[in-house]
Amino acid sequence: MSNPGVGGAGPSPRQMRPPRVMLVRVPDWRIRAVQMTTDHTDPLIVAEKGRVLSCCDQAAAEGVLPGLRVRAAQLRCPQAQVVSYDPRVEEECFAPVVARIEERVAPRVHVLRPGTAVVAVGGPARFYGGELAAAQRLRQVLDAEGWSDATVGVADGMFAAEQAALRAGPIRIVGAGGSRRFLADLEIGALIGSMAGIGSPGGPDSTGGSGQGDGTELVVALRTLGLRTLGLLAGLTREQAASRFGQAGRLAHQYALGLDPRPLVPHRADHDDSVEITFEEPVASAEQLETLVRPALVELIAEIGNRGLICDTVRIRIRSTAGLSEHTWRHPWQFDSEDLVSRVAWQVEELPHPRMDTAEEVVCEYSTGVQAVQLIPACRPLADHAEGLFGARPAEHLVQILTRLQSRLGPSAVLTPSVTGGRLLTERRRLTPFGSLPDDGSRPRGEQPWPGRLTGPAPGVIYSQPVPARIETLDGQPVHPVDAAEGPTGVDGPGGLDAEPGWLVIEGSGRARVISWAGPWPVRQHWWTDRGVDLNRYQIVTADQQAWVLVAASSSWWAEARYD
Amino acid sequence: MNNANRAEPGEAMAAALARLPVSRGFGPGMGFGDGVSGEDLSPRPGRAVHPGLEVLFPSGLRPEVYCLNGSAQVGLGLLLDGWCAVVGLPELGVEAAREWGVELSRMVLIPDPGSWLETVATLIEGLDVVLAVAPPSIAPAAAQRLVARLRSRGSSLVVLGDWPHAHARIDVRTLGWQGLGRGYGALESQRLEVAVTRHHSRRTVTLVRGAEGITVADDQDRGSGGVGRSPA
Repeated sequence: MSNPGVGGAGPSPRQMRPPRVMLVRVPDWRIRAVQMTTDHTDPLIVAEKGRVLSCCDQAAAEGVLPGLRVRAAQLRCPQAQVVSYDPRVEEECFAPVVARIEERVAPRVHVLRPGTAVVAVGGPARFYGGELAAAQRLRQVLDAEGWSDATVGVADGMFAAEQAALRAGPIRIVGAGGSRRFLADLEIGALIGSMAGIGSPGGPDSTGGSGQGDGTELVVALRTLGLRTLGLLAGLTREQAASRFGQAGRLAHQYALGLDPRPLVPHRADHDDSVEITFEEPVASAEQLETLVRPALVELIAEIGNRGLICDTVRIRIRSTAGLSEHTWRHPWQFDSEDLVSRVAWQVEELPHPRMDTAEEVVCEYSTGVQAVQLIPACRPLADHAEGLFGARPAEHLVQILTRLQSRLGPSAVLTPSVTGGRLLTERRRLTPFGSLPDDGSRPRGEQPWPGRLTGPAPGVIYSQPVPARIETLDGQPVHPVDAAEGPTGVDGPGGLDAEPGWLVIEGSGRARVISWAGPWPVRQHWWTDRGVDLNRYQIVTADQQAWVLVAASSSWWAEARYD
Repeated sequence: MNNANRAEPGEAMAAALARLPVSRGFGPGMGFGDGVSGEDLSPRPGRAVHPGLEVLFPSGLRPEVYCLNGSAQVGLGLLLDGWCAVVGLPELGVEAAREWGVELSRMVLIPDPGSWLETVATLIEGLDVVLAVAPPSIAPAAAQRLVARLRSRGSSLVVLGDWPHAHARIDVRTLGWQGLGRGYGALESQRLEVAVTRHHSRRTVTLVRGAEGITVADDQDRGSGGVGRSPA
């Protein structure tokens, strides 16, 4: 929360030690991807823009080299199949491997490039008992997938880890803080391939040429100047590296020092779909807040939908001048962007805020300012969720109408009923705000018979708060229940009462003659806790044909329900 | 879900024929635009009600206002078709609603409606039947507009209590309870007399509501019960 940047992963300060990572590399992925997706046989050449990008061992043995013109390569190896480079194919082929690593080793995988994946080593090392054990585990997982020649390197920073993996047999661990020493002896050409993304080398002395952006030109320049190892490059000062070789030089210099500035960015977004929206000024108006968050949420839902997923649970964190608020919202069907906007609004409404004096201002202004909103959605495949727990999703206009009502009256003003287990009648009735699920997420139940259930038809009116009542004899004396467990019942009066009832007095409903009654039906619930319930239930019908469910606790009477 | 199609085919047919030529999108019982809750737009004779009440609503529940007096639970028997809302009854027994055959997953409860008119007007835009306590007061003009909207939307409103110029009036009376004695037994069933008065004609039915559900009473000789029509 403290870092407001998107994803919280800006470039780290130069002198900060890079994260300690574990990198796994499947050699020659580019060729492997072609072999997996086509029926071409070796020799193979992958080419782009008329030049060789990669070739298989057989072609390499014939003298084909990356960077060679395709014409020249075909001259050296005439039987070679030339395939044009397709990054999507490589990514798609690598995705199952990444998924396997996510599932088996560490949830957040950074794909450096297809064929090379990186995870932070801390978690797996703790879990598997050391970096070596974690690396062995990773190797095993790759082995099981059929990539038995994958190699693993562990080091500070991805550059050092990749160099370690390239020189691993099959695991190489560079100790903490040892990256610079490890890299010092390496030939300067190790930089090639790691400079991608920097673009054409900048700086005034950029040697022009066909900037491939992979660092080749830089390496050539460095070699020309006699900087033949990374150690020699690291010996320069940062200013020298930057002024002589521009942006690429500065990056190469950082690599050589073992200070890889690249952050780990988990590849699979569904493990981190979180959206963070920060506001420079605290937002105090509901409409303004909704307007500000809406685009990000529309984008979020669209992105989730594009992956064939739906979001039915979202954790919302709101940082405001009143503090931090966190809530998990669940949806019986799936969230759309408007649902998310309304959940943010509801949560903001629930923030503690001092009452305002004028009622008119309260309507549209929060007195607390919202500084940041973060949403952490949990997604599932659409297929798992064709029908929600509460049946199919209602038509869109219906959802809109009910959501509008909720935004006017409050989320818990529009409720979905369900029947659940319980002995007290109020417990059997579960009311859940429309568009959310009960916290335990359980399926509505109540089909099975519950002990203590009343016979006959269900009461039409169930008092959320039992209403105090009195039972009197015909001459106005109070009638008390006789505890079913104590003493012989039926001695003092029939039906578990100590006298024949004459009148039923319900607070607020007046007096009525009792014409029939029966009981007691004991209700014992949670008797093992302090909140235990120990009640006797009675049914009473009065002369006006009203039927009541009364409960007796010790010697007081309450109306639990009315049959209506 | 029971359909009212089989009640009194003559009337249903007449209603259907009356609508047939001109009613696409305009007649009562039709929604605007894309229809009501995605249902097809073919003419139909009102909304289905509980089988026990079918004799009282031979052509189903129409897009109009019914006012219900007496036991409110009978109103639940009118909420069977489509999405329904119950407004202003915080203490409604959900199990009773289920016994009347209400599909709970298509039911919403608004225990405290705030502004009655605004809430009910919002609900009838999308829901099919709304059961609501009577408003504290309603201006005749507002009531008229609401009824017009009901007709154009095809929704029905059942009001517990009074309503100016309701189309039909439902009166419910409990005739008696069976099973409970003086100090023994347990409630088994309730006998209810339900009467619908519309345009000076009155239909009544006696229902037995027990643990097994709600059925029309077998013996129609008791009290003023039984199925019948009589001038009011």
